[in-house]
Amino acid sequence: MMLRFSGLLLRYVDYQRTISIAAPTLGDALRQVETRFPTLRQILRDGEGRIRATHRVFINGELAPAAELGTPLADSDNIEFLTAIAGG
Amino acid sequence: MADLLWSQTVSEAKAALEFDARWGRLMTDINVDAAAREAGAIPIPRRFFTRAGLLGLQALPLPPSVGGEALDPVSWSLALERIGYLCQDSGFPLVLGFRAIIAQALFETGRPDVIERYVKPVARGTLGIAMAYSEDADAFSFRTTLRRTAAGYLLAGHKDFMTGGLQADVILTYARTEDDDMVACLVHKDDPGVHVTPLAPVGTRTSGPAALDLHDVPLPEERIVASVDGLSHAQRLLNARRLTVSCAPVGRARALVELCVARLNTTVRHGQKLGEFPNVQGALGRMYISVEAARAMLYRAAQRVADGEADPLFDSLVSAAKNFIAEQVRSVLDETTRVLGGYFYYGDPYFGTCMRDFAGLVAVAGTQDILEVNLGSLVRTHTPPRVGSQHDNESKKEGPLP
Repeated sequence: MMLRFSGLLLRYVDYQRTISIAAPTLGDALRQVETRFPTLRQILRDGEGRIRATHRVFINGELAPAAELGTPLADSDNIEFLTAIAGG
Repeated sequence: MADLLWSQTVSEAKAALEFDARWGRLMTDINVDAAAREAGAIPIPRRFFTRAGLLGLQALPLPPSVGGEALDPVSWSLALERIGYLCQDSGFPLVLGFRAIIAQALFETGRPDVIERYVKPVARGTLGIAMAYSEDADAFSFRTTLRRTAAGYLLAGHKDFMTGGLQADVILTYARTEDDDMVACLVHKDDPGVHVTPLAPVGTRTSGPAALDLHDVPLPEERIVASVDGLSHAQRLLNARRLTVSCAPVGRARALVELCVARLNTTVRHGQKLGEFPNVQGALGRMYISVEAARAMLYRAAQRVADGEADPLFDSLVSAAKNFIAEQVRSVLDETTRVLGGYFYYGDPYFGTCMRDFAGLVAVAGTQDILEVNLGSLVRTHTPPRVGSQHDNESKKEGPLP
């Protein structure tokens, strides 16, 4: 499947907008990409390993509310991360 | 009788009358020295927040179990707009609105100790609370840390600015942990190692703006109110702030139009009142459009929150409303400058106050540019691809370029 990053997340994946991964679940896909880009983990996940609520995850263009790491994925899936945060 | 100029539903008119009956006197009293406080950058006195608590204003949107009236977001927005219309001290609605947001967030922890120790006193107006989030860094590069030692937790770092910091007894702040997460925690102003320094901002100078320094502040574990994903915790508060911070300026913009008209109707040039010149009336028309457009956007966003349909972390409509309102109220002020000329510049320092205060709306709760970038990325991501459009079909017919 294809993982897509944009905006402020790009910095943490060496500005690669798309990363191709073969993984059975969202959690496994993330683990693989975090192995390549270790700082991404602290950005994407909280201290308990869950995806931070500030990140929106789209699977094949559909918003996946409260995306679970166990979400099964197929080879043809597109996963996009979008982060909308602002200052005080 | 309905107002034939300004849009106001019957229930809105009733709410305004009720507001004036309950808190009109408080607004009048706050106005007495508002200009002098603004000129001297003197924080609005705590006694006004104590009275706001005593009279039930501070607790309005909070649950009845903590002394509130559980006012819905639309009605609370109307109340804040009314404050903006009546109150000449911009610091008051700014601090009042933010305290309510922080109290609500603390209430939502569900912890009886937090509710008793902090939420109820804030609702009563006897405890001042502020939020210190921003640093001179992006959110993923904050330098304020919470570290565990043999003797307990220690908090260290610097927060560049916080609204209402000078009137606060307790500060909700955010720190990175050793596992690179972020926590939300409460520090007391009298904790050892806590230093609050007054700031001299461009506008909203009575709001008690301050910087926060934390020098190895010992932090009892129970003061941690969000132990994981403090970033999302902060974004929830800032999203809510985007709505509340937009309300009072809308009321103030309408008051500004009326102040402007009063001057235009008593100033004569070339044998005519200024208000009778067509170009001046055109400006007044544009000011009216700006205020009404800002109101429409504000209440559509507030209704979305009231309906439970808003994204609690970054709502597109709430963010768009803050962005739009900031531009509209600044546009009203710009038109005022044009029609009043020298009087705007020299005649009444209140115009300068509005100019400085409205400038703050560009930056507060997410700068205009950041909101626009976020909104644009959401529009792009949320918009489904259009298939079979005329353009696509024509392109396919033509085939690839050689």
